[in-house]
Amino acid sequence: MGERVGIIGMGQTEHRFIRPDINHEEMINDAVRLALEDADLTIKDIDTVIIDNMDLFEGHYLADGMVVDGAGMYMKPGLKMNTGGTSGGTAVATGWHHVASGIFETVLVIGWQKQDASPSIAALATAREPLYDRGIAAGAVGIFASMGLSYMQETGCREEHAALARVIMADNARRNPYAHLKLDLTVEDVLKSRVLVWPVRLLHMSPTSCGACAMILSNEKRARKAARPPVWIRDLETVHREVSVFRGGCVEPQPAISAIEVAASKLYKRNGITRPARDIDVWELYTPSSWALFPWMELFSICDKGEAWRLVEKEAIRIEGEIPIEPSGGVVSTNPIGASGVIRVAETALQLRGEAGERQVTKKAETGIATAWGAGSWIVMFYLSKHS
Amino acid sequence: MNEELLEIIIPLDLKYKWSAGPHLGAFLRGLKEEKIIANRCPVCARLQLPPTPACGRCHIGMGEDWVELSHQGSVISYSSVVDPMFDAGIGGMRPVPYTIAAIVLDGGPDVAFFHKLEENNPEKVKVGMRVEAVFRPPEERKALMEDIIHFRTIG
Amino acid sequence: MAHRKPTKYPDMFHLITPSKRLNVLSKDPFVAEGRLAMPYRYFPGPVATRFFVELRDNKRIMGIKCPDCGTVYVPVETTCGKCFVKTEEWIEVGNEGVLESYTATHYTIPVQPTPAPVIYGLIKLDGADTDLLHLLGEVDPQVLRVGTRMEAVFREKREGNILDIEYFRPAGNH
Ligand SMILES: [Zn+2]
Ligand SMILES: [Zn+2]
Repeated sequence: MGERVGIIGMGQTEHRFIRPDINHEEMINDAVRLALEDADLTIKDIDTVIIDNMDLFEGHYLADGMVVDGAGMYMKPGLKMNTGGTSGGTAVATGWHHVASGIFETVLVIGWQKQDASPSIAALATAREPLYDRGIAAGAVGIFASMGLSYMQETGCREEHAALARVIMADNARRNPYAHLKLDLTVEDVLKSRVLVWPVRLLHMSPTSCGACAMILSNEKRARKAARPPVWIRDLETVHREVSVFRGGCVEPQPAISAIEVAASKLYKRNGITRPARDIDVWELYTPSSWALFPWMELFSICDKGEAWRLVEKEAIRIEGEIPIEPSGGVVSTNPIGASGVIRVAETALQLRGEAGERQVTKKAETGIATAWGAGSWIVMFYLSKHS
Repeated sequence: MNEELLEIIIPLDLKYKWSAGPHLGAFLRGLKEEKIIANRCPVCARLQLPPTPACGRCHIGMGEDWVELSHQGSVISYSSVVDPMFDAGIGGMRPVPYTIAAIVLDGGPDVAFFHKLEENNPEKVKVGMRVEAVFRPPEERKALMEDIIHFRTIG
Repeated sequence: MAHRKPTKYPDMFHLITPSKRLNVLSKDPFVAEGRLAMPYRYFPGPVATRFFVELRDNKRIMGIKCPDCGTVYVPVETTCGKCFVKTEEWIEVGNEGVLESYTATHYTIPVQPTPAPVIYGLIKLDGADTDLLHLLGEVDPQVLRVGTRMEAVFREKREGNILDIEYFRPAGNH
């Protein structure tokens, strides 16, 4: 293991469906200024800048070139990441590697997306092999429909439970000033919303958001002198596999799942986490649909297989609960895709600082897991702690 | 202060040439001859559909072990697409509704084929239902996935 | 901890069709035509909007000044990259300036605004510190010289984009 890596600053913009009032570079700049202010640093203190977005959503090759000044990259080394839904996680992971390697002292990580720029689903579909399955692939909803369907068939879970999970996330989002959708929902509202691909209803899916999130990482020497109490990224794990669910000979149900399980078991083992529900105080999982929450909870070993819906039914995942999950309101409330992975880490760090305001979890928060998920099967996960 | 905010529409329409390579190319040429072919890993014996040059799990070249699969199989998963969606491949809205399915073809139990079903009524589609590939007439085939129109329900 | 059992592939092998030595690999390349066509929308934001609206409504070229280093940017920048501060002070720069560099392209591609030859110039407008890239007109590239004074020629019908200036031509000789 190299240098210890601390999160010493964070900033995010508001998130909305459409931002005619701002361009990409200006939106990024807002997040960067907030992060620098939070860390009480200036751009001169930043050694390198890692940025990420899914540029086909916005229709410009080399997004890096367009945002240099606003991102604070002028004459600095930097990298642009794009790994689909996991982009934000990959950017934070890249920042972590840059500090952990000992080569850079202070790294700025910026994720953003402006989903008012295109029909995002058309850009998303280009993740598919052009000659084999692009012509029929239709976005991400089907993946969650298949998860929900299998989950209901294998457990006692009913549609009401997924609806309750969505209601809890909406309740959390209303306590988060940065959340995009701050909906006041009942289980009935969710069950009445339009079916996209059964059992996934409109309210089960994440919105298309515009927004940016910036984060400053540094080595221990600098973090010890930081303006705010540092939160440590103790460990991380990334697992990739085939993009398309049905490519390369997979009839395993939901290939996404095994990638999560592989990542989680490696990370837990390295860090002596034997009972995640007890050892981890707060969770920010990347759940693009409320139906994903159940398999995610089980694959991250928060509970035994088939038990996640019971924890939701008992409302144990609420901000006041034993196992708070998505206190920010999660990706179903806010999804500026390139920023979403960075937001998961930032929101977890905010909880561990004890500065999450109205959305601060009731239990004492010293450890947290933040994740990013995408491409049907990729996962990046972070283990955060108040203690180095 | 000017309240106006400009909105600029920039249509992008790019032409591409996609090289399938010998393995996917063999599969697509197979479709033109009314064949669905997969290849098999020499180490783990896993089939790959569409065929690939290497097995990702064993990190080994796939060799020359080719398998022709039946045109009939069973649906293991499906979704009904009802929402209109923009399709960059046609530069417009894709016609809906349509049903996509993962189909396990007879002879290849560890691979699924991904295509449209003729049946568009989600009430009538069931996991486990038997289906069969309907190919276009030979003169209309172009060695593309569309050489199969859809899978029709049988039995 | 709950752990799903890994799928056991070997159990299924007896179901698989026996292999055939199909001779299917071909040396002929397989290339298919593809397309990627999407409508994109770009919101330039309030600062760039003002720049374009001034061109459209007032035939005026505006720059914006960095409060720290004093650089006047044309086209406008909301952040000065060198100082990382927000630019704020609007400065009307002249519609005339000095040609800093130029070239001509002799092929036609769809993204170019006019057919070839397209003559491009970098013009430092009076009062600006940066160069504006634009088209040149009414010039003979063979005799044109760096340092020539140039002036903007505005279109009759203007829509609020950079092509509201049709081109720059040598100043005062028409
Ligand atoms: Zn293998
Ligand atoms: Zn400056």
